Amino acid sequence: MTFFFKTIAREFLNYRRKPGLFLNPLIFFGLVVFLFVLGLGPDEAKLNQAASIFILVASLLSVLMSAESAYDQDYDEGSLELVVVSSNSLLIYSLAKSLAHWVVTFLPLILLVPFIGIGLFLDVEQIWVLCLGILLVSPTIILLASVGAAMTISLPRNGVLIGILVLPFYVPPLIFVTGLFEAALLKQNVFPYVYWLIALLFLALGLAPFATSACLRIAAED
Amino acid sequence: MLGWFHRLGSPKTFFGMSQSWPKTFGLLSLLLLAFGTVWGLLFAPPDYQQGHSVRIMYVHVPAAAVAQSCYLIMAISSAVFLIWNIKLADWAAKSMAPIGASLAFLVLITGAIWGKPTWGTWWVWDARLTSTLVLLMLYLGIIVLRNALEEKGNDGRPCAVLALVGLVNLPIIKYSVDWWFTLHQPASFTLTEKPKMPPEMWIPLLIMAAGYYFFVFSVWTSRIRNEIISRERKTAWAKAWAGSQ
Amino acid sequence: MIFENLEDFFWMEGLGPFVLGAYFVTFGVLGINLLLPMIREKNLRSDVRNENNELRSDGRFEE
Repeated sequence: MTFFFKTIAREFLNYRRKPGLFLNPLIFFGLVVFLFVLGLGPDEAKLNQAASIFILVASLLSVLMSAESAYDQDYDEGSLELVVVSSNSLLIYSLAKSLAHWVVTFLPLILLVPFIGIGLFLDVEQIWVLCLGILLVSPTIILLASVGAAMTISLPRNGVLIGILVLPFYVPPLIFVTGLFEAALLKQNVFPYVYWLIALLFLALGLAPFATSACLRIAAED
Repeated sequence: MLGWFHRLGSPKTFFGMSQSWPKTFGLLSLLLLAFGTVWGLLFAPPDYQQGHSVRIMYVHVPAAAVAQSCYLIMAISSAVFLIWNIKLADWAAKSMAPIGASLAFLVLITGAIWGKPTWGTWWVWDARLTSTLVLLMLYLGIIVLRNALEEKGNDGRPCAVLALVGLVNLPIIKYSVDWWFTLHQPASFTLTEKPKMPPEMWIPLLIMAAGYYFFVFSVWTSRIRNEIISRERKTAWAKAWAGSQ
Repeated sequence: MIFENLEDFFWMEGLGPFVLGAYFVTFGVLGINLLLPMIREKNLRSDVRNENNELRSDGRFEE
């Protein structure tokens, strides 16, 4: 268990030493949302409809950026091989990395969402639903991105490649989250979607770490 | 039985065994495809509602079934490679990916051509079309990853993992796209119901499907053989094969 | 035969281009799938033979 916490602590130390690793994706997220807004125009009604989706898709894309740097560094340094060779479990290692990655990517995002929501003319209820949706879908997204990052870990500049590999798997969570937003908009029951997202989360939690650690082991053994 | 399976894993044995497969199955498939095409184009009855455009069904529907089967075969080969470390299985999976991708592409194109006269539009975001598009994306992802890994000289095991992850996700994606479509189905659009098909229609369909399967098997075997030669080119038997003809 | 003459076959009540276009695309894609491995096999054969001949005639172990 201490290995789990030590890995998380090490990740946080890394992020503190190189704030760019988590600040850059955050800035990227903000810019993408800004581009969407510029594209759509200042019309309040149109922005209201599409705002939640823009924020969600922008967050999906920024996760791909940060996933690349979360895993590549360990591989380049050689500390990945140390973990593989030691008696510590790669599963715990990947879970710890995913948790740290989530904290550093989505916590600031969820805190920023109310402010962005105000800029996009979302009312309070919509902002709550947006935060709930992002909260429910983000662990799944992080876990899927970690699988993609582990597969491409030995390749240079693999950010876009991770996107190509992982975006089809983003489709189910995306569909259910947008269903959540629409249901909230139409004042319908949101709980079916909540349950679906939680189900997807547990599925990802159960399967993705195995795929991630298998690919990490493959990369370290080469 | 297990011995045969084990021997099948040796590239040299497989190469020797499969010598006649591409030509034999290729000819068989061309016969079946020709027969099915002639029947479908010239002798099958036109549909009550769609008229002659239903003839596209004879190339579209079998391609869809086979594109999905190809993914399953690719995933099984990947699993065999990951579990038993048989290199030939990795090469088999690598060879299947472009075939499946081109078939998925074919499904989308023939579907669009079928859709234009039938529904009035080239494309519609319905559940089946969107699922096939996702299938194509999965194939392309595997091909892209394999190219990137081979450039760097790494082995193909991440591709195998990706194929299996895709296999697990395929039902989930299909279900969610299905659900998405029923939620967003535009009110003015309905897919025509498929009535019971008379034998004059489902027999050529089966013949075309058999033709497609044999075709894929022939091309797949041919590609695997090329892969074997390419990777085993330093061995004596490969040199003999190249020099003897 | 459903069609009475060749013109009917190509016209198909206005659907001829679509149906025949679809079959054309199909056989095009299948044809490419068939031809590419055959071309690669031919190239491989000559490549491996050339590599083999180079080695034998040079007598060196560079390769």
